[in-house]
Amino acid sequence: MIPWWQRPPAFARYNLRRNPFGELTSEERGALAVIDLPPITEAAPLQIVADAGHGKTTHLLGLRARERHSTYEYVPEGQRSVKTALPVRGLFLLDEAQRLTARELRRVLAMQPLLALGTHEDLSARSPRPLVTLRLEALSLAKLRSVVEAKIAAAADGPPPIVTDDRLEALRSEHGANLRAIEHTLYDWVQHGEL
Amino acid sequence: MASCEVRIELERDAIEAGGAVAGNVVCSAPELVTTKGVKLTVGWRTHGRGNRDLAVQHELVLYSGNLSGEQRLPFKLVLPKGPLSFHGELVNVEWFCKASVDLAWAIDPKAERTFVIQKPEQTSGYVYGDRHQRLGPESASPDTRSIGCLLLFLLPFIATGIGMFIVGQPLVGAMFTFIPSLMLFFIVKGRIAARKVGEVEMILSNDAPRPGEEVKVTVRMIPAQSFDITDITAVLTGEEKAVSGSGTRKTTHRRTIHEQKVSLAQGPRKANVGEPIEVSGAVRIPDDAPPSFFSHDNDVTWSVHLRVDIPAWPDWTDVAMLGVLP
Repeated sequence: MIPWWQRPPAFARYNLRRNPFGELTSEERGALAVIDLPPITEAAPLQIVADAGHGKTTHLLGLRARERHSTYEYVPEGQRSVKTALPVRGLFLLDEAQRLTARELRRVLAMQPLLALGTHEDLSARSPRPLVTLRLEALSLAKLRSVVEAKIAAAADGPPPIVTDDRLEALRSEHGANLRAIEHTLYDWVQHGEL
Repeated sequence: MASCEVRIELERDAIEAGGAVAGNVVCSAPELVTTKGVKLTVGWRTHGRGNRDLAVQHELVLYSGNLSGEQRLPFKLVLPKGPLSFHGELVNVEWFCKASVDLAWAIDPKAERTFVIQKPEQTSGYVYGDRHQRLGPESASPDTRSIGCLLLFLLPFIATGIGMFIVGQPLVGAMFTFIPSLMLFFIVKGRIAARKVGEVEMILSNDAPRPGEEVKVTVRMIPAQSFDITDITAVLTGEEKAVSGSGTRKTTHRRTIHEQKVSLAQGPRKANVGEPIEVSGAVRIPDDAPPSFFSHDNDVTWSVHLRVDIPAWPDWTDVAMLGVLP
């Protein structure tokens, strides 16, 4: 007899190879990112301002996947300076930029022509250059649908399941623009056959 | 541009642990193409709530040179004894074969097949993971250095709180003294409990049991003080554990897959200073228990949690990690 832990998993009933809303590798996150960004020019670096879980890192990883000559660095808690050599000719993607010291942030902004920052707080006042700001505060139904469908398509092994507008609206009203929380709920729906 | 398609055919997609995965990598090229290599990778990966873990077991070049028409490249690779395939709610362990054709100036065609590694007919003495040192009883109390560091960290807060009381800010003072004191209590409560219970030894009859087997849990202690015991319990817990994110985004997800509580002491009893106490009982590994699995961010664990319940005093606790065999 097949033990419960080797029977076909819950996601298989939806023609999925895995739960689409589980953790992805950073490469997969970048490849599946649904992003709509203003062009990044040398005239004005881009800052993506949002609370945790709203998609800053996903946007930066999406840029990394699309821009061949780009370098990504995540600034962990306690780190105050950039560890990567600045890719002066390419695009530099700096996540959690608010953790840098004011001096280090000024240095990066002064030396790196093409730059995108992910930050919890607006860094305009600390920047010697004008910044283009993208705030991830709202999440449209169309954008949520794109995110959900991209993830499902990447995990599909047959006709994929469809999440209705009503269910997506319910997620938006419960979690707002917090995509991480939405995906957490969707993970449970898949596991419990409630999609 | 010359094109090529690749697919994998497996003889069987459910294989006994320690057996061999066999099949063919089939390359189809309508026109002549030159490949630097047809590569085959066999390994396992996790997916689910936790960060992905991956281990490559075999990586080899099956063929290099010209491809034309349909070419079948056979392979047969011996697999290790584990980890066994596993599908839980948080953790999945999945075996895969991946083939890719390295073409110059073209996107490399790729194919992938997954297969299941099943429990062997003969029970194997094997636990996947590199945390064997965690097997056996371990103290639940923090070491002296950790407590010292914590005290140094918390004392300024407590001192500030007392200062706030003095300057007439009782609410702020209460917050600054109460919260650190509570933190300190939870961390040193094991030591407080140990002051009464004295030396406690948890002995397991077998720390690498098979499904369906019983594990006898024996507790021996020589009380340092006299006290009442409400109960001594052993709880067998099977758990999936998945860690997602890292740094400040790190979250640990847990799901209990099995729990069995056994009372080792028959009702309330008195523990007298210096008089040895020995109690025992047995927990049973369920017949369908998944084997223990330890990887970087995804675990399936089995453990015995021991609790000496002392009225109006912190309970003494300890945990012993088991390595359940397939």
